Amino acid sequence: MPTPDRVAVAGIGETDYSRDSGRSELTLSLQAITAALDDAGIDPTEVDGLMTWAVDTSPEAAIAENLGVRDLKWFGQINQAGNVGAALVASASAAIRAGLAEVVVIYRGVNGRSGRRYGSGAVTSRRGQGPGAFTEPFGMLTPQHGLAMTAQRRMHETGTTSRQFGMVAVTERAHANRNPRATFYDRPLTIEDHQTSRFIVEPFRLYDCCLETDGGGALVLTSLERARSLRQPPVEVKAAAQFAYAADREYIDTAAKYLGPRLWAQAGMDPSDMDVAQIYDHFAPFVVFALEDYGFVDRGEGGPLVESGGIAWDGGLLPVNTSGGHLSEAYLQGMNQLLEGVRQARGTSTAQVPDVGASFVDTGIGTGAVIFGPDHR
Amino acid sequence: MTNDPTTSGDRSAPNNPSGSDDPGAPTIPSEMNILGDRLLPVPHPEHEPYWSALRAGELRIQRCTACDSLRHAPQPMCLKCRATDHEWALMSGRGEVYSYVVTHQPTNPAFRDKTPFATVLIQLEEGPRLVSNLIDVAPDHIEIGLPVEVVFHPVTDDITLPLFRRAVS
Ligand SMILES: [Zn+2]
Repeated sequence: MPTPDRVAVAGIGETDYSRDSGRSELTLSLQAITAALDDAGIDPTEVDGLMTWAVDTSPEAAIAENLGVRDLKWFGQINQAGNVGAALVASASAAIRAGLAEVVVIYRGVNGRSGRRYGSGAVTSRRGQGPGAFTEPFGMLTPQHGLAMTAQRRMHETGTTSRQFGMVAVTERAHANRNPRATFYDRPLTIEDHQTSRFIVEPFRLYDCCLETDGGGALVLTSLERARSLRQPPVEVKAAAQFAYAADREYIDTAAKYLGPRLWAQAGMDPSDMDVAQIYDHFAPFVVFALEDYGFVDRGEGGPLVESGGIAWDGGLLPVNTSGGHLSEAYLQGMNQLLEGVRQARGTSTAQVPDVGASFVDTGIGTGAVIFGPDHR
Repeated sequence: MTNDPTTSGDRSAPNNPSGSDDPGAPTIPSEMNILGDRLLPVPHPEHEPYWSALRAGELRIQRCTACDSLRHAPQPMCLKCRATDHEWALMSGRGEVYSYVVTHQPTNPAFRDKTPFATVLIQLEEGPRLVSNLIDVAPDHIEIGLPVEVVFHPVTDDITLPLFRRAVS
């Protein structure tokens, strides 16, 4: 049998997003997976591939055991941090193309608010060991500190302002206000709210920072051909790529500067072909930096774009984080961005952009990105 | 760089901005509480020369003996030429603030009584960048480009941290 050369997302699923799920991360994962399989119309026993975040606590074998998977042919975890969503899509797609598995589910379930809170450093702190010996004694304790360091320098070099960052948060909140699943569905946000909110780690204000969320999500990947016979219109994986730094961290450019050209080449597209974007907004300033480093706009132009309404779902040049993103929907670290990227390609978002041909998803400011598109036969 | 094991408290860089009688005592504004108990580093045995230099009042940075590239934080291999042989090169201790952040909401008990405090990224004049704190500049007075120099702050018998202050020269 020839191996498939095109891969699609056949189903997506998620749990509710909350501050205290009251269930285990394994339960959240399983509930998201069964929702995604139901969406696709695939029986759990047909799953033969499982992939997840290495920082999580729900190993593939435990999932397989609960789902009743009979023959798990492809499984694995990618080990970096929360930013591996696109890498998992790339790896799962490669496995399907190679004929190593037919139905691969990418999943995660996290109690990111009631359990291990990223913002506390509980997941990432090295407790003064390894490279942490050179940073943590000076108060550089969480990923937020390194990112704030980059943001401060970049503001200095490009003139981007806190108010422009604030407009990222305000725009995303407006998107969340249309999305009943979003944590901040019924809470508006103004630029004044942002500008008067307290600093957490300066230059990041409270409303520059992502939520902490309990919840789960899952995507079902299979060949485009098989997806065409399933319940939902297929969403093709047009490109998926990952990137890790191979050189000294400069504290100024983001990885998007390096991943971008490779992603566009893989897709045979360029930034102007993207109709909508989901961007990993752990902190609002990084939406601005990603827009610049991927090449959607020139360096220094991301702030003005945001300020002029350029990322709004209704009429923006490039609508961004149309479900509310990590700032206002949920913080499932790229998972909720992948789900929304698929919805935009299906045409089912609560802030739907018209005629989406290419739906861009960044899952870690250049450390991974996916381009989804509808199935044009 | 001074190297006086008899000095109690901070061993300072050669110049003394405070003009006090004790050339080893940096001036710390009363509103700053950046010294004191800290989250301690756990030195890796391979990096011991870095830490012993600090104890001796020297800032030494890993330098590839094959191509002379400096690298920090320490790594086993030189990414420029792939050599593993290295030495620990004495730095001038001078540099400037490349970037900084100010923590307002602490996440670790060691910093809970110190907020707001600034963490700075120092660009040494020799090139490498180093995470540290400034001992004599309040967070709202820090500026990118501020010239600084190292001071040595012993926190335990084993651990001395490189901190920085406004440069005088
Ligand atoms: Zn070398």
